[in-house]
Amino acid sequence: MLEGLQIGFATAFSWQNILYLFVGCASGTLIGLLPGLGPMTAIALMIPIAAALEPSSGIIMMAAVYYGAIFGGSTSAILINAPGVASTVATSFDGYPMARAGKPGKALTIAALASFSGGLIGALLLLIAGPSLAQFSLAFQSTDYFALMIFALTCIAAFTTQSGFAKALVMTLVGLMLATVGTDQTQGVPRFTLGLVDLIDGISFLLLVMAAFALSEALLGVMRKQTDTQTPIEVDRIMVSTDEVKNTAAPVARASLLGFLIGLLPGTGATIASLLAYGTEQRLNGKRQPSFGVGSARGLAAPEAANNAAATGSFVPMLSLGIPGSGTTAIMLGALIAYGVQPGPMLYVAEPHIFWSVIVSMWLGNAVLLVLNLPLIPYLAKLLLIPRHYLMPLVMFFALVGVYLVSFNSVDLYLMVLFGVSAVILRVLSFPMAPMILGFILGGLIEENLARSLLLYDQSWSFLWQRPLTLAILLLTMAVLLWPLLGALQSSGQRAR
Amino acid sequence: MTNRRMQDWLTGSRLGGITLLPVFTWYVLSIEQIQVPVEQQHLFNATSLPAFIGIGGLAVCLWLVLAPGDRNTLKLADFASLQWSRLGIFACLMLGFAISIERLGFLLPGIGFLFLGALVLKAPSKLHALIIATSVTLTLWVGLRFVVGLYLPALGSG
Repeated sequence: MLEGLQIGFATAFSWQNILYLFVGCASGTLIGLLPGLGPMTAIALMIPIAAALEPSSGIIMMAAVYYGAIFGGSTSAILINAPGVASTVATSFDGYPMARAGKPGKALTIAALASFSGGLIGALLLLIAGPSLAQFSLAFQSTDYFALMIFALTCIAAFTTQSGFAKALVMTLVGLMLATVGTDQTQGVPRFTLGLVDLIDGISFLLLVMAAFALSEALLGVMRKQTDTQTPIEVDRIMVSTDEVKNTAAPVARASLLGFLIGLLPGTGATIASLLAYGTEQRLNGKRQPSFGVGSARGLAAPEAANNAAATGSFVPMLSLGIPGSGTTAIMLGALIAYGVQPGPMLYVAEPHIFWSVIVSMWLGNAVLLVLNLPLIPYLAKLLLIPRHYLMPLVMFFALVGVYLVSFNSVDLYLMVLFGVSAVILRVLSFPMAPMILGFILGGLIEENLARSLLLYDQSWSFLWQRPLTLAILLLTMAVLLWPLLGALQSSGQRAR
Repeated sequence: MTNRRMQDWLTGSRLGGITLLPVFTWYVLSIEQIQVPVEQQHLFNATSLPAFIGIGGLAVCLWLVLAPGDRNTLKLADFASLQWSRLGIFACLMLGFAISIERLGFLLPGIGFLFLGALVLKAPSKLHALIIATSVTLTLWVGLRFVVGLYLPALGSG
């Protein structure tokens, strides 16, 4: 581990990577700050820039964009009660009342410090969990990977609360369907190319992500009728007292641990972590004043620490097993594959500088985030005043240019418009986009690993039950899928009694 | 079916299911066009996963359309409250940008897209919109050319 850390420090502390870290944190904060544009849009918009960098620099920058965007989302939740993303909803419960009570600077500082602590604790836990899991998974064969990819698909369960299971499932199938366009990886046969040479290599991951998130978000922004925008509260002094730090220390520590553990599970992520941390601290707070919901520092700090720790935790399955823990890490996984880097335990062996530099950059990134954002908070708040008539065309323009710069092919732009318009229609009908990206990423991997497994076992499906690890993962998958069903049956049985 | 009953029946899930049904139907029908070499026609080949996805997709779409206990409450009124004409206008603007970038270079299509986009969204000042569009496009072009090192022809196909 020490050797790995040395490699990580050497890579992350190069001046170029520190620069990319600053750029990532700043861009992530700026994009995340704008209501409606969350971490997924932020990462999607930054992929064209990251693609031009070395894989380790690119992934460091994207990770910085990720936690920068989460912090940026908290700022808009606190200042104008507009949580841009679901994971900052819990932040607004106490952050906005605190800001309304004349302490916006203090609220933002508590959020920044809690995010910093959450990220720091999360990175420390990642340091322990990541390499251990990677070392364990070195023994994995393609049959186990096939089972693991199927397990990763259970991640769609996370998107069922708002939109219903069937919608999340059909979007996963749409993603899998899009992944089959182009030349088949195992047999070299062209599929669903409509006779177009431009589709022989398949649909570009960047194009799909940009269309599904950045473009559709901006298009939805222009389609919604203009409502009265809230004027951000003027940010004053940003200092917090020692008592306030002491008061929030325990909730931050608890929420960070909880957030990290939740982030480890595929499909849960920052939203559930922040809401759960808020609920837990509310129960523990009891009748202590100020009570939750009216501007409690503990109520603000806990979800902030939890969502950052969960964001860090979701890197563990991505880096160690090569499976995405959330929609955002699915995008990052796709970007790694686009770099030609194979995520999973082999990343730990073959590309240790990437593996370790990401872990080290998390500490560095969280420090950069704090140093960069605390003094800039009053100025960042002004960004919330950018009029929509300039902002939305700008987002679309950057998305279009980003895709064009990678391929220099207009056909990609036509496809992007087609996918963007389709994504808008599906999003209006409450069909989630993240499962589609998950299906798109996992589709190719599932097919490749299944074909390899069948080759290993002489075209026999017996690997499903002959190899204990594969069987164990598949049984776990079934348990995860059947658990909610059993719960529902049990509760309906209780109601009937 | 009366208009009211039609509106109650046509929820977001059903409308989505109806939209995706032809896509999956086309997908399933296109599978037979995949030509797998005879020596590679194993139990699992290039058509297996598409067949599984296609049939699964059709089944879920039918489930969405026919499911009686649809929890989604989106009605046509919500759907109609959005300004759909703007989706059409921006789609046309983006297509215009895509067509013109290879013929006119980066600057004119970029400025045009940003300027017209701002006008469609009722920017209060045309001059202000033009200044912002021009400065953003020029800054991006200069940044790409001299900082990132990516050359996009400024005017014409270069």
